[in-house]
Amino acid sequence: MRQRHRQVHRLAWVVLALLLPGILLAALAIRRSGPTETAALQLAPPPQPASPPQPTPPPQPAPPK
Amino acid sequence: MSARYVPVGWNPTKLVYDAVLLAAIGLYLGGYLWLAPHFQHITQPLDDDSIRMQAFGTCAFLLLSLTLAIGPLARFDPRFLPLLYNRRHLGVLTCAVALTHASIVLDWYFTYSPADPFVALLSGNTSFGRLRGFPFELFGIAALFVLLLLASTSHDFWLNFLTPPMWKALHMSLYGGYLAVVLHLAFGALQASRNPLLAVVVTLCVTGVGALHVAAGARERRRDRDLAPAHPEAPWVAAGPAAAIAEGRAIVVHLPDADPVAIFRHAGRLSAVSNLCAHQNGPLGEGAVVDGCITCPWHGYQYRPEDGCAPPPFQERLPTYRLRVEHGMVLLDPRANPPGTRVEPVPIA
Repeated sequence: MRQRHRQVHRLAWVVLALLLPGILLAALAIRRSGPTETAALQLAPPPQPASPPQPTPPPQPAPPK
Repeated sequence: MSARYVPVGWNPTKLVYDAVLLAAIGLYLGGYLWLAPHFQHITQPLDDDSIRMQAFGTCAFLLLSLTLAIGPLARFDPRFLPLLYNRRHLGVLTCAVALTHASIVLDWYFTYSPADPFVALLSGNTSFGRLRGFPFELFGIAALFVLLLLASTSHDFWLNFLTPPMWKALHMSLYGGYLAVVLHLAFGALQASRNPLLAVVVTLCVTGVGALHVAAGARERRRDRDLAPAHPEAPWVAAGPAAAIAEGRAIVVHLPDADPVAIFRHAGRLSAVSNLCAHQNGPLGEGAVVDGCITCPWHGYQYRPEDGCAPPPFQERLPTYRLRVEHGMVLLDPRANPPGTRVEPVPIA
């Protein structure tokens, strides 16, 4: 039993010793090179409360030429 | 070794060990919280909670790496043996620090979430189809689960209940836990942080722990291979010259397809017992004879050399082996006697 534990232990660490640095390298390779901050979202202004339509003012007379 | 149940068998050495450990953790966390605000990037200012999260997360990673490095370090240099003593306390503290990290994460990110924090944690990121932005939180949860399982079974009750081989097999899941931690860091903190120090420290720890274990395994395999039956009268195997065994110490014989054997010299006579302590499979051959008893270097369990029995009132017993000395060479019969079998110690001359 102990012998099998030792063999599993040794095999596990050979695999981990190769796998873990590989994972770190891959992670560093896919890391964004630029800034990670995204642009701030521009929120739309809150909708204005509904109000009755205002009467349009009459057109101004054209100034005398 | 205790004849009655005690939650933790405290002694002055354990108290000093834990005090040093707690002080070191406190110093690291305090130093991180104090220094980190001075080193943050101008485009990524961090709030106090994020710094706390990082401090506890990196502390847990370093503690876990240390826990895993202690075993091979102690094999290469006996000066690391004191670290091995109470390694379980180190593991439990690592779990506590990792839990604190997780609780800060839950508090900070999901306090104002309309859903339950745990549901929000599991459903907040579902980008399983791409590497960048992969839900790294799942790896952290898996690692925390392993740490909790191991911390909750890090007691002699579970060791006795499960038996040492089963307990050892269960605790080997720590390797999977370490893999999960590295994945958690690789897809989480390493993607977000622009600070190269984190990447350098993580890479050094991971490659260092892996290299130590591979080197220790290669050394052990070499020893196994080098041992070959040298005596024509099989099955006795040559264990080495008797003069090479120092008084009160042992040599370890690695038998192919069998447990290793420790041959101790005490009062000018030789005795052989299994090299595996009945408590936690500790390497008895790296210990010494103290007060006439073989003493395990890990936790101080003791056995009489001539019959492998722990002194009363303790009840642990080890398999013993027959020895001969011919022309100054120690010969070992690799067939183990039942635990506790008395074998008359062999005079060297």
